[in-house]
Amino acid sequence: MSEQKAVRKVIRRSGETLVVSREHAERGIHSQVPVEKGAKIKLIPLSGFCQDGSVAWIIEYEDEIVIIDGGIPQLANHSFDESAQEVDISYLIQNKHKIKAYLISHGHEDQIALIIPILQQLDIPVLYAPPLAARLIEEKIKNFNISKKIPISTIKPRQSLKIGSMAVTYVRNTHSIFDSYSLIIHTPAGKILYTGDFKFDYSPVDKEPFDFYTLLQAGEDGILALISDSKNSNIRSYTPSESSVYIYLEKAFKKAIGKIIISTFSYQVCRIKQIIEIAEKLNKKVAIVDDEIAKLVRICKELGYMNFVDSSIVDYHDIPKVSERRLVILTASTQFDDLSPMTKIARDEHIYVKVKEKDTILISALPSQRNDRTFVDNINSLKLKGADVFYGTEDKIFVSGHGSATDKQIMINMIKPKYFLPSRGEYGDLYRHRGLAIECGIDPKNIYILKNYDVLEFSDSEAKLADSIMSKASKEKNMSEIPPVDLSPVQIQLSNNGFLSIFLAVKNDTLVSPPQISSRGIEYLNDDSIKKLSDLIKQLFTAISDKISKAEKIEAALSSFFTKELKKEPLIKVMILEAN
Amino acid sequence: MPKTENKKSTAKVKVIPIGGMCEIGKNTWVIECNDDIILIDGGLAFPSDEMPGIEIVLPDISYLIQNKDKIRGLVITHGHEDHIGGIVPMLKQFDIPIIYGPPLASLLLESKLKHEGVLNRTTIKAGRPRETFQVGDLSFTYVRNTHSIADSFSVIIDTPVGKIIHSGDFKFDFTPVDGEFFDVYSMAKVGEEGALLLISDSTNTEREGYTPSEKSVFPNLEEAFYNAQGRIIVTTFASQVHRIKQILDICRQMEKKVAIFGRSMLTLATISRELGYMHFPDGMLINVDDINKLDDNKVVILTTGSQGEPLSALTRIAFDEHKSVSIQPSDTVIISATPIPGNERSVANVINALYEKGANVIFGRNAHIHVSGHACREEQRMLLNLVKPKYFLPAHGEYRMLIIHGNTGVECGVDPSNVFIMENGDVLELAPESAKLNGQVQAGIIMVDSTRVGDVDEHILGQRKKLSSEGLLSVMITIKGKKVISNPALETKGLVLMQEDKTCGKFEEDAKKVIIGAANKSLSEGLDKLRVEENIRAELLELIHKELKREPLIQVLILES
Repeated sequence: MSEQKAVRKVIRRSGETLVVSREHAERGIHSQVPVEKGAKIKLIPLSGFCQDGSVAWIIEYEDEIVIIDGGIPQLANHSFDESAQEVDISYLIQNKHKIKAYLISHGHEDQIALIIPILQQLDIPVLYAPPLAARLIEEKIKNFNISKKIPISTIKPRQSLKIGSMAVTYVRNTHSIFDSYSLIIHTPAGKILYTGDFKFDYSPVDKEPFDFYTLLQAGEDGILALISDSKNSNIRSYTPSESSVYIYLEKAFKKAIGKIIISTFSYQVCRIKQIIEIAEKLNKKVAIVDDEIAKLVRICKELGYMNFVDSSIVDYHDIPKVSERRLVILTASTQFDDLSPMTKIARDEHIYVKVKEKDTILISALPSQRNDRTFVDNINSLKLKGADVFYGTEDKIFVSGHGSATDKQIMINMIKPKYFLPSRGEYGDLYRHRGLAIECGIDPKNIYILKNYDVLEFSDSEAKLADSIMSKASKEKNMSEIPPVDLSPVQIQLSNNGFLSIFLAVKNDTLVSPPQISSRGIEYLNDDSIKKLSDLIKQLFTAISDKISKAEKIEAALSSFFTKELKKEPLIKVMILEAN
Repeated sequence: MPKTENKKSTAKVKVIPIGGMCEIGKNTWVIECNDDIILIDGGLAFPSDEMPGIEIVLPDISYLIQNKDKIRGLVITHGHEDHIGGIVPMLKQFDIPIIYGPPLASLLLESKLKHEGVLNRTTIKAGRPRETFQVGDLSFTYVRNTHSIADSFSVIIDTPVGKIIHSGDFKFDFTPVDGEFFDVYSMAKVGEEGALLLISDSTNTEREGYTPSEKSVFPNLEEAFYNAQGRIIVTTFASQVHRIKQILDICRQMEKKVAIFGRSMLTLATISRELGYMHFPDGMLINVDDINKLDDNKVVILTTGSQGEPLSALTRIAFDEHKSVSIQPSDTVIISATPIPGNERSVANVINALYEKGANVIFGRNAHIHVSGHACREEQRMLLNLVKPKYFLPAHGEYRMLIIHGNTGVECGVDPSNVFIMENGDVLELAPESAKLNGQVQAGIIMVDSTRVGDVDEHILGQRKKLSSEGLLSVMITIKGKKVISNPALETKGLVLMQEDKTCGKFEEDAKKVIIGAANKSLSEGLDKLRVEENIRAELLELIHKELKREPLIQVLILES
């Protein structure tokens, strides 16, 4: 009988039977790193504190460094390069010889965007990532033309990997994207659980449940420190299952008279899967009008995470060929700022999508606080056009991918760590998370709320804050920075740097007249530089093939041109007009 | 084929709910394997509105009596009456070799058995969480869960065909009052090793989300206590050990003296204190007589009666029928409970009466001074995700709850054909690779009167119901030989023999004619007295039904001269 137990166990999934050998199942648990008395490790957050859309940690033991995740804070109306400078990686550059591995918990931008600047400046011996994240990283590397060979290694659930004197075990969790993991980092000082982003979803869209057993086994063995996702700690109660939005989306789809325009965060991969499923079920066609979503859908299909008939997706050029009643336009609402497709649609500025009376608009997203005026304005203009608009948690077509207060307490309860580090979030979230932990019996003395670049050094018996690793340059930048209290970044940019608007008249994808350039508050432009600028725009117009976001891309390129050449940052607006 | 292999493949385990299905209460389960039976819990139920005069309801244990020689032991999940209240009647019928229970439940049971004089018919053994016991061919392991009573356990039963997990009553309380956490690890472990069957608590399956932690009521109770000017009368379920602990903690902190009304509550406080589950200084509890000797703002009366039970202290106080306490306008009454469905009216009456007498009453959902001890749907999903059972048996709930909980199981990955909705007495037969409903054993209810003399059967209950809705008509006749010699005497209780358009006398005349006619006819046929009574009753009933559209209880008395 014991033999029978030891060999295999059967995990039932949706209709299929997955046989997992016992050895495989327990590999993660047996590969422990022996705890040495007095061993000291350092935990350093590079990003994620009071920054939207990013998290990055360093774990350091003697002369070994492991990097965990890495995003780039989202700044409204900022280019990638500008935003990337928000994260100071000089500590990694100084200690590049120590870097042993880069661990990715899942494939969201918050976790993978920082890889680009890091790879541009450093060599990474190995990068471990779940399958979907690995594919997304590969695409990213291709897009940024990084030519050096990056050893990306795809991990499996429960897989344990030795990394120098440390090791990591990947534990499947549930979140808003497939292939999301929590990490158990085995160090000589003890085990650290890095939750990654998570919520407890008991009926996940991909039918892959949270691996409670491995998580709890680690809790049972004893966890020294818990680094846990603090986002949504301020929300009481719990976050409902991702699959709970299905019936509400389906209802709205069924009721729709005209076409459906649905927007979601491009990283809500589970949501996108459900949207396509519902469309297929109701015999509708989905036009994806967002590059990021189109890429995700393509990769998910390749990996077998989405199974739809190819003909269910139509090219956005073919939108006019589909009858309105059968049409679903899927687009992104990344941020509700000026660049967001939803904003363009609402303002009637979108090239491919025009809202008509009787259209149904589903905004399966929530605004980030910064741009909520834009969000409300969007809703107003959509309603004025006579469309039916549904949005957010009130209409039950949105749930967050992050757990709320109850989810946080379940995690703390299951792990019962000695030290607790709330991670990623605004200070309000972090302090609320601290309160939740104290309620669960964690000693307040053992809870550390850090700042980016703080160093928490600890062993199994004590923990203390060491000197911050923030580089001198960043420190100065930080000191001089005036927090934008009332002014939005757009306003600051306008008042400091002026405004440049460019009209392009286009027919059949070619310019029919020279770019029309007008400026306000830019004193340094003379006739000569305007001519130069005009040539540059023409070049850019032909060089950028992407039609949907051509205007944005020209804007971004021009903006970096101004920054580099003239050290100025005017607000640039490019508008493309189709000529008849 | 090797012999052991053969034995294993033919092994069968039966799971039979004797009580607790399609109802809430009298939880009693049989786990049977070959010649061994383990019982899980032995509970009683409280009567519904449709059971006038009934104090408690017990399961029909005929099946256990028939198989008493197979019973190897009984395993208690926790010390609530609906899980241990039926054990005394069992022990009056047969011995149980050993009863395992969590520490608090063991002591509560012991005091019960002592009181009823049946302590010698069994051995009680207190078990600890994660402790495993061998009982006949089967063994079981206790897993600590969280509920409204201290020491509440789930049970993992190891059988030759696989592991059966019985959740007991539970919720997931992440900040438990006693600091004792749900042993989620043991649940995940059995899920990992492979769970054959999960039997799980369905009580709150109609509510989405999570039940808030018991601790969440503390600040609100505390505030109510601080705001009170005079005496405080506080009531909750006698079974809410954690609530009572919190109330006593607040009293201690505010240096109040507490008089406990209600034997069950006093026993619980005493035993919990012995076990260290409640802490209060010696002088904190006072007698009824001391209430008037103290300043009003020092006095707390902790009482039963949260359900408006007619005989409880709170109800008597509310209606000014209590011998030593009457409501003063400065009193604050805190009802830290919600009415169980069916009790809403009685509770409302008590609250009205309290307000009439000038008391300030704090009650209801918005006061946030009560939370349930049972899991809501999200917690049920969590357990299903942890245990990942092959077969799923929703229990501890009314029929609709079992169905809803069953659907939740399917949502969490259980094959729809592997969900079993059962009624009391149904037999679920488990083999290593299969499970099926196979037959039934006798099951039902036994009602016990307030006097606790004998069992009340359905017939008597039917008569009681008829009396209360239709009234009583009694008929007396005198006969001599085969003839009626007197004018029948009619008497009614709760029945009006008057019709709108006819006089009472007219109906009485008709009735008497019918009675005499039926009696004479039956007597002339030589029928015995019982049959004569029967015929008179039938004829009379027909008349009343026709004329008055009523069906009273009819009593016929025949005197022979």
